[in-house]
Amino acid sequence: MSTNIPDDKLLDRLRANDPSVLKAIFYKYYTTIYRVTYRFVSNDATAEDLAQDVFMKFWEKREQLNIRESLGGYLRRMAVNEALGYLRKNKKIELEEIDNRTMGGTAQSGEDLYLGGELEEVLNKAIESLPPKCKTVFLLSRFEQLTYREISERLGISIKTVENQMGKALRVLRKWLANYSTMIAFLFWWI
Amino acid sequence: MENNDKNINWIAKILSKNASADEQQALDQWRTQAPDNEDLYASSQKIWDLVEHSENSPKEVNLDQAWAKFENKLQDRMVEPKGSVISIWTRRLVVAAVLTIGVFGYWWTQSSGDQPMAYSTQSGETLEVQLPDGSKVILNENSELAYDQKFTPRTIKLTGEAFFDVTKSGETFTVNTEKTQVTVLGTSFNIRAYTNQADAEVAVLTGKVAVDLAKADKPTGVVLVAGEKAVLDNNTQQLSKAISNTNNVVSWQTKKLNFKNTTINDVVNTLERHFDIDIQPTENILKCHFTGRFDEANLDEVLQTIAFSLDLQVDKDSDTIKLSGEGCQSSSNE
Repeated sequence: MSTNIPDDKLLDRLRANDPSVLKAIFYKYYTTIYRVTYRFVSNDATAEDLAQDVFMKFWEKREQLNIRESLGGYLRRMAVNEALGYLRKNKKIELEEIDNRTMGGTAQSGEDLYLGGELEEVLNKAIESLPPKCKTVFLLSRFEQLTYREISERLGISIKTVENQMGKALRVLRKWLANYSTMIAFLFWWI
Repeated sequence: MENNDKNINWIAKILSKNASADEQQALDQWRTQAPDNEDLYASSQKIWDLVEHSENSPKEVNLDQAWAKFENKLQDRMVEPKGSVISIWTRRLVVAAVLTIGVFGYWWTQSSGDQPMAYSTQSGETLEVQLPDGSKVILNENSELAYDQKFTPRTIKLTGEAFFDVTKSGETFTVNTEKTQVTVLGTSFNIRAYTNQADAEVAVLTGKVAVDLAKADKPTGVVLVAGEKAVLDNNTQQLSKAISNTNNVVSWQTKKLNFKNTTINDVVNTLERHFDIDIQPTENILKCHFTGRFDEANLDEVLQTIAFSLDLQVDKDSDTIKLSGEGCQSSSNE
């Protein structure tokens, strides 16, 4: 299955109601969409369900679609919506799970991380360790390039809160990497 | 300290391109005022940039599998009745029939609360089972799973191998195997407890899991966190804790193998388990190391690649594969 058919061709086929186009779009964008939902929900099964829902909704709404941006950008936005909807609906569960993880994560951090050895892993763990709201704000800014205003509107919080949460995220990330002193020494010296 | 907090908010605003020109200018000035300021900014920026490259890939995505699943859902939706041809009377009948089944089904599930449920797989099969609490189990081949339909307490019996993704609730989730008892709150883990195999093994992918011996009089167990596994030695009946290569633990599910400077001894163990074969490496190559990734590769491809990279010879018997070679001088490449 080819995954690099240009978007305009895909959209033409979509408008022509070509049923095979869905598979082509799915193969081209599923991985990206799945990674987006995973970042937000941090759970394989949930991320998969959400990613699949994105494509299901996309297909069901194909006739009303009015895509002005890139197809990838459009799907990505749907994925963020889907993930935020899920987080909102499952607020309690999420809070509890992530809080637990935060506690476990910091308690045993140092040595554990060193064994894992990879910067990537440290960064992921650091992001995972953020409190739920803080993490969501950070992801929306860093990975979805939403402005503070957009984030505040999407999450129904004040811009001031967005600012504070962003600062908090950056502080926590700095702390994680600073704890990881050998790594950080290496990093500053190397980059 | 509080000042520092404010500064970080400010820096975050700059880095995320949310600052006004004035703020940007003010920050530039602030940076030149003290070396500490510049350090704070520079280190923050590095982290900001690094995060972009943190590839948060939970599992490798298998597009064919994902699509197959999606296609199924799609078909389910498409066969929903259009409903225009059926007369009003037939509709009523349909509703009545559904209601009867519904009521009967309700009564049946109520009255049979401790109805035992059982699933099993044959050679070469895997099966995904959704438990009443929403937890997911993927049963590997030649395995059996049993639980009471009521599913309170959340207790399940397993023979063979399964991967668990447990839904979190206040209540513990317990898996009993012949020789071990595994207790969790909400997590994902893999249990391998075939009756005909020497060692039982529990590996944890996320969360925290407690493993105890099944017939323990006193607590004998170990507590595992993500990336660890417990192995039960069948001869000594001892549980021991070890680091687990979580990628390969669930290779039966992902069809992917990943070796990173792994000794041939470990590579062979993984391959034997993944392909269900017997491999006999000669003593002198056990300490050689291999690094490589395979996506849905067959046994021959994997063996050829390893043999080529370590200059080994592969001899295939009817049911055994022999690996031999010169051995490795400087075994580790780290």
